[in-house]
Order: sequence, then C-alpha cells, then structure tokens
Amino acid sequence: MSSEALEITQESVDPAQEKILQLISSQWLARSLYVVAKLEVADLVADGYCSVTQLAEKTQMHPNSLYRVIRALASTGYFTEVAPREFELTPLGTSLRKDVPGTVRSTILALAGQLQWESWGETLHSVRTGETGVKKAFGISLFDYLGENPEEAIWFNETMESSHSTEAPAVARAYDFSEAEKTIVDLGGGSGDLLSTILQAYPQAKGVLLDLAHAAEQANERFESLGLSGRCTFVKGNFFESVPKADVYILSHVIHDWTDEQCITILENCRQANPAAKVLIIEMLIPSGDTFHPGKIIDLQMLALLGGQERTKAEYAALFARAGYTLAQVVSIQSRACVLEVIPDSSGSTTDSYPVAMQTQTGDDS
Amino acid sequence: MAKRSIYARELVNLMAGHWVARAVYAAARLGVADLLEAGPQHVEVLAKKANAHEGALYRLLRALASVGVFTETEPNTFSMTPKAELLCSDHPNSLRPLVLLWNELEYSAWDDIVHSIKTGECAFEYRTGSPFFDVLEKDMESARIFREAMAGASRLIPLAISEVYDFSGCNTIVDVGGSHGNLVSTILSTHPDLKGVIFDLPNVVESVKNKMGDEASRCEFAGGDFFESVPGGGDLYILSRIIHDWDDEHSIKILKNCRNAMGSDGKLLLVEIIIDTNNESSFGNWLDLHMLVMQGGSERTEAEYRRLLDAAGFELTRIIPTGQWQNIIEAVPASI
Repeated sequence: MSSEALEITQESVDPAQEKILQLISSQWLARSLYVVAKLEVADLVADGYCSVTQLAEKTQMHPNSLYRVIRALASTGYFTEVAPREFELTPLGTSLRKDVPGTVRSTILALAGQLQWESWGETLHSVRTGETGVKKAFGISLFDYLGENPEEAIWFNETMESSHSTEAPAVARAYDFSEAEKTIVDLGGGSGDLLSTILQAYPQAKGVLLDLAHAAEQANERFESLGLSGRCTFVKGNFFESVPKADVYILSHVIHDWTDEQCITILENCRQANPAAKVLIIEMLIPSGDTFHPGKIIDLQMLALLGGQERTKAEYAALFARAGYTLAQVVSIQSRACVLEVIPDSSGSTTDSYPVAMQTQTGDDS
Repeated sequence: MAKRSIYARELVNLMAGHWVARAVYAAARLGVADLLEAGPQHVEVLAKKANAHEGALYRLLRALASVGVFTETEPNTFSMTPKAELLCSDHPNSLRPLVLLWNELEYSAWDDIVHSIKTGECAFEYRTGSPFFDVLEKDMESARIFREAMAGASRLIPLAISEVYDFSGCNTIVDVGGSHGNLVSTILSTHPDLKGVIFDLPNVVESVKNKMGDEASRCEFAGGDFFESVPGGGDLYILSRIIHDWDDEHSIKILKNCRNAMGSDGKLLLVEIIIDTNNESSFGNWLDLHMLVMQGGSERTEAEYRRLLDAAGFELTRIIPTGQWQNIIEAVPASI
C-alpha cells in the first residue's frame, strides 16, 4: 500500500456542513477539558507522569479511555504525544495546571461542569419562556446554587476575576479618578482587584467595597497586603437594599447579571445615598448587525444562568434614563468591555455639555 | 499576563462552543430555519410561530448570526445563510436530525463522561439503564431521528464511494447494516450491472423496502442480526460506519460473520474515519469520544483496523480516501 493512499483529504466535504459539524461537536471539547481539569492530568504530566499507564494508575481511570481523551485534546493543541501513549504539555496545555500563574483550571471547572451542562440542557426552556436554565434544572437561582456548593462558588469567583483581571489596570489608566479624590464605592467588587488597583493609582482616593459576606476575607487580605487598609474598607451588604455614601460608584460586570427592574433598584439605591454621585458601569457593549462579539454568546450564558443580559449602547441609555440617569460618555479601556460614565439627571451642571461625544469603540480586540 | 490572557481567552472561546452548540440546537428544535425558508421574518412573527419568548429568541438568533448561522438583515429581522440552510428539515443534507440527536437523546450521557473514562464503559447505558441501540428499538421517534441523522450527515458518502471505488468484477454487493439503503441505491444507480442486498434488523428493512426507487428491482432485502449471521451469496460486503459503533469483541464477531458468509475470492469494505496518529486532525477524535460515551464503540487508527481485520480472518489490502471524513478500508480473506 502506498503511503499517499493514506493522505486524508477533506476537499469535497461541504464547507458549510463541516462548519456546522464543528460548531455542534464543540460541546464535547468543553466536557473533555472538564475531565482533564477535574483529574488534574496536566499537573501529573508536569510532575513526570507522562505515560497513560502511570496517569491512569494515579487517577484510577480506565487507561485506554483516558488515552482517548488526552489524544483528542492533543489534536486540539493541549498536549503532544511524544511517544506512543506518552504525553507532554504544550504551552497552551500548561495553563491547565492548578498552581501556575495564569491557570485556567477553575475556569474550566466553572464553565464546563455539571452546573453548566445541566443548565444548558434547558436551553429550549429558556428560549421558550425567557426563564433561566438553572432555575429549571435545579429549582433555585445561580447565587443560591453557589451558596449551597462552595467548591463550585470558588471556581466561579476565580473565573470571573481572572476573566476581568486585565481590566483593572486598564480602567485605572483610562478613566481619570483624580477629581474623585473623596470616596469610591465598588458595589459587588468581589475580592477587590479593581478597587485596589484604582486606589494604588490615585493615592488621595478612599475606597469602600460592598459585597456579600463570603468575599470579606479575601478582600481584606488584599487591602492589607497592598497597604491600603488605612483608606479602604470592606462593608458587608446587599446593593438591592442600600449602599454606602460615595462620590463615585463602580458597578463592574454587575449590571449585566440583572433584569432592567433589578438594575433600576440598584441605581435608585445609589441616588438615595448620594443624589449627586456619578456611577461608572463596566460592561461590554453589544454591537449591532452580525458582527462577532463574545458578548453575544455570553449573553446566552446570562439567559441560561442568571436572567440578566448583555445590552447594546441604546439599551443601556434607555435603562439609565428610566432610573433618572444619563449616559454621559463611553470610555474605551482596550478590552472587550468599556466604562460607561453615568450621571444623575438632577445634577444639572453637566446637562449643557450633553451629549458628550462618544469615544469610538475599538470593538473586539482579539 | 498577556500570554495568560490569550490562553484564557482561547480556552473560554473553546468552551463557549458548548453554548453555541446548544444555541444551534434550540434554533433547530424550534424550526427557525424552516420558518425562514420563504424569506426574512421579524422576530415577533418567528416567536409566535415557534412558540418562543420573543426577547429570548432575539438574543438566540443574534448570537447565532454572529457565528454565521442566520443573518440580521434589518433590525429584529432575520434571514437564511448557507450554514442555516443545513438546519432546514427538507434540505437534502439536513443536519437538523443530527443536531436533535446529539442534543436530546444523546446530550445527558456526556454529563457522565467521567464514568466512561473511569471504567471504559459507555455513559449512555450507565445514565439510562439501557444500551443505546436497545433504546432505539423501543423508541420509534428516536430511531427515526437517528436514521435521518445518519443519512443527513453522510449524504455525500454513497456518491463518493460509488465514484472512487472500482466495482468491476463484482456482481452482488451486500450492505451489512444498510439501514436507509442510500449506499446500495446510489451504487446501483451508477453501476447498472450490479445487484444489491440490504441487510439490517427486520423492522428497519421493512420500513426501507417501500422507499426504494428504480433500483429496487435489482435489490434484495434481508432482515436479521449481524451478530448471528450475515446473508451469503455476495462478492462484496460493505460495512459503512458500523464497526465504529462497537468494541473490539463485538466488531470481530460481525467481521467473522461476514467472513463466513463470503467466498474466498470475496472482498470486504469498511467505510470509517481513520484516526490520524499525528493528532493533527481533531474531528475523528471527538467522534471517537462520542462513540465511547454513547455505545462503547471507538474510532480507530489504521493499525487498529489492521489488527481487528486480522483477528477476524481478513487481510487489509488498501485504504482509499473518499474526499469525505471517512476512508474506504478494503480487505480480503487472509490466505491460509
């Protein structure tokens, strides 16, 4: 048999068909990455357990089946098969390891675990009713689910933080906080990455982080280690009930979690605490037309998990107007997201200059 | 930091593939492509006709349009794209049944992939308590979707086989597990001197009989179980995407039954994906895992096919690319 005969060509495969097949089979990739992340295969490979026999023994898996998963991930660039049934990590695969800088393990566990699989199993219900898949699959809200599943909550929080980690310095650079040298309150600021980055760049500013109790320990540790404890505090609270007084409020990737009505309640609570305070909202803006933007896919995640949504600029402007605020400007931050500067209608002084010229969006930076 | 961000982004994009796949499924189940066949439609009309929530349906279609499935021609109005056409029920190569199969009957088994990796057993049976093909035998609707899915995803394969394979010197082909009969009827239509036998489970053969076109006069239909025996009298036996459904033990049983049915000058053709040992082509690897999860079957490398054929008394003679994902693996009875 000639070796040319073995060359596999796919020229006659219908390109549209191939594309659709790739789209619809990609869910299996997510699930396979989950297996490898869960079993910590990448860490074992890095520790020298390279052969499938060793890996299967360590993880107590069925050797040939484990081989097939790792082989499939090798064909997608995570491992290389250096000898038959012996694998090494590629640079991409290294990011699957647990304790390396830039690890994506918790992201995989959060985005391809049972919560996701079963919630997305109810997609049809969500599209029929507009209700979340989490509610249908588990009978509770996402945040209640995370409350009951602390391990998954940790993966989830780490994922949110790491997916926005490049934003904090970008926000601190792109938006001028020097006029707000009084108090910045970050609502739902999690472990305090964004707030502490801003405070480091603006030594006169004071900060308050409001979040649920579970975030306190991590945030306080961070403030202490960065020497910010003197001008930055954690306040346990719920922004649907009330918020501390501030000169500037920050809502970073919070608004997209909620329905219009819930967002209006949050904004009304800001106004209640200080009618003159600005609100900075960090979110993606969904472009119109068929242009690819990750926000359009993440929007479906909002539908499946939270009942919130990603919004267009017009939708944000309409939402703010209903809450008595005006979208004054959109500041690009070299990220998928941008800063929406929102000012209360009653503050008066800025109405002369409205509408402020919107900065051009750079769009998807991928 | 920059590197990490690139990897994280790439990875999240890959995993969002799950969400895109589910979005394609929701649109397919709601029949959106069928509703758009006559022309562009406003999402309000689509939501009414498909019995969907208008806002949620808009978000679904907007996301799909961003990956080339449907296009938003005017605000809130969507129309077809080449990719979307493949989701129409009446498209000759429709992938709608495959999308429904993977996302309904087969979806939940992937939740238990860890069980498969732990044990080597199929997750489907672990999850549902029944082997995959037993469920199809009892559930006629799922069986119909399965047959249509296999036909739609592989409409081009019969034509490719009848074009690339030299059938000269051959009188009767036996399609073992021939299901819908597309392969035999396509080969017979381009080879007027050939006769064909379609062999499958009795109820499958019964339903296919009446759908055969002009080639029916040169075609026999035989009902049976390929684990017990295979009809004799053929000189070319074809197993098109059958062996990948089964583990080695079952596969060898089927192959041995073919060997027993044919004469010493007969030939055997397997139509299967061949796993690329350089790990460069990935689709076959994903299907391989799907076979593990669903049936305990597997896609195989050339060496694995060689071993399997050898164990059943065959010798692999050549591998012929078809221009599709699948190749033709030709084998003859091993000389004693």
